[in-house]
Amino acid sequence: MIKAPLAIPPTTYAPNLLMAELSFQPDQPLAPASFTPQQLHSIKAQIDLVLMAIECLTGLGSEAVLASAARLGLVDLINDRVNLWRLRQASPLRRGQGRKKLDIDEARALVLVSCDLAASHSTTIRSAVAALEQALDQGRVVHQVDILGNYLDAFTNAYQDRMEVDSTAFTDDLSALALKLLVDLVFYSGVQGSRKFWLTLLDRSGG
Amino acid sequence: MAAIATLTTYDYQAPSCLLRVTGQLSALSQLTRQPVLRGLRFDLQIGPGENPEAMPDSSPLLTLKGEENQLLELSDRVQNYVQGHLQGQVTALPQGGWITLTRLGLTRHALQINQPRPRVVILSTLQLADLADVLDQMDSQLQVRAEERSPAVRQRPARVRLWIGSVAAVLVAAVLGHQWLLPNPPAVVRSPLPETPEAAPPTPWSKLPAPSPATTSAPRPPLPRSSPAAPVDRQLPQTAREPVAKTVDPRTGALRPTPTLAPVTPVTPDSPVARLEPDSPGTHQPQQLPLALSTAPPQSGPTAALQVLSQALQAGWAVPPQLGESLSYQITLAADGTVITVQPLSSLARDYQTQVGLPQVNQRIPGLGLTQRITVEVNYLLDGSVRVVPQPLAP
Repeated sequence: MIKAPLAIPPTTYAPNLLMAELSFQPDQPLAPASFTPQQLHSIKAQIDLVLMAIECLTGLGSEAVLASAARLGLVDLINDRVNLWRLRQASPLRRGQGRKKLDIDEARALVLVSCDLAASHSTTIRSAVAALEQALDQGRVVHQVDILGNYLDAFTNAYQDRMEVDSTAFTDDLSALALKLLVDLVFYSGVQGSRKFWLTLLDRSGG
Repeated sequence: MAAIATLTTYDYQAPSCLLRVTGQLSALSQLTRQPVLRGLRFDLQIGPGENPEAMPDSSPLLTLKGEENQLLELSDRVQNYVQGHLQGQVTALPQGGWITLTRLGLTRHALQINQPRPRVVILSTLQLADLADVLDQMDSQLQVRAEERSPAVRQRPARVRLWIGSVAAVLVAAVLGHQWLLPNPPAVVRSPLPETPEAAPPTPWSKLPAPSPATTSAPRPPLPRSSPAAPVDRQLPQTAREPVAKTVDPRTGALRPTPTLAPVTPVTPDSPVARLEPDSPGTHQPQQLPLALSTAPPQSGPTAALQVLSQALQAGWAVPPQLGESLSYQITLAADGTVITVQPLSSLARDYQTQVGLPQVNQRIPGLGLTQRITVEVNYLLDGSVRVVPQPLAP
């Protein structure tokens, strides 16, 4: 038996191949051409949260997202701040009205950009996760570790600022969510991170 | 005419992990975008990564050696486990074979090697990610032509069945003696490291003893077609077989038995592994319960509280005979040791909640010495141990 050729690091891919990479899954049925509204609902929320975690950990802003999209040749899908804002605003967790529909290509583009940014800041992500592991080992309060405290503060503030916050949502819950996203970023920043992220989205949405 | 076996070595690296694969470059490589290896052997080493102080003697946490089917199975297991971890699955995936991965908490994972002798290595998230990385690197840059694989081992569907015709054609050509088909590959091919704008972290990998350099062109002895190969004590009976006489030591060129799992660095009371904290990466025998607690020195503070709690829970835990996977619960304790909440983390855990000896809500566990509220995840493992993992604390 022969193992099929898989992905090459995204930076060497043409945009159409990049997108095709996320459609080819040797272990599962091909990605559906379309999703049910409920599936997209979950996908849109998850992508936005992962991007928010990256932003809160690294301090990146929309310019970095746009630069990454340009680097990956995805400017047709993510071309300016307004467009990016509308894509992010598609998350059902977001405050406000006028949510834009997110099609499958836009979702793939955001996944590729998220993983590209994560890979570009893998050192920061690994440092934060190493600090988290050490804090848990030593029974320390995670929030008291500088890099983690800053990240948790930024994430909590961003979440409360941007999302429809349920009054019952405790800071504990947001911290747990932020730390889970941080750990996930380690895997998304690695080899075939975009494939892992995409499969996670499909599985979580039941696709 | 003596045939020449060309062995090629590929290295795949991550900060805490090194995977070295050696095999014969198949003639199919001429027809593919990626090299095709057969008769593959692998040498996997997992080191301390970002936490070198945990392994001050620079010895790897884990060394594994084996052949292609084991490597493919390891890759399958790790990729499936990582995907389950990303999806937030809290229970162990149904697994078998010689490798099992179990989640112990947000940042801890038990890699259990079932054969030839059971042992468990606790991996951090970074080590698990690095392990997945090197396997993904191999997966994306190399094609492995397995000689033979049992259905139980091969869970994935064949990826490229279109190759079958080409395989047959090229093998026929090779058998007919067209030695010119074989290219002259570089002696040692280093896999390219991923390029990122941000400099990679300084790797402590240099502290790990790298495998000795591979010999790439070794004289291949005539195939013993008429004489049966001597029986070899295979320690992994579920894997595919290859005649021993065809196996060429990539280092010496000499014939040798098929590689088996190398022993893990033995754990002694004085070894750095034995001195690890309860939730630190380390190696232990499953019978030594609870995890590393028997060798860790007495401590105060949260660690001591976890030890007391672990021992208290351990006393009430007997593995039900029909239980097929570990059980996980989240317990919140007040500063005085009173149980505030007990939350099963799976439906199976809910079913067994009254049978594992869990403390009841409002019950006080004395002697914990806590100074603040604490939330822990408790894992009742199938080997009879109880694992207590602290969860992130609220600010």
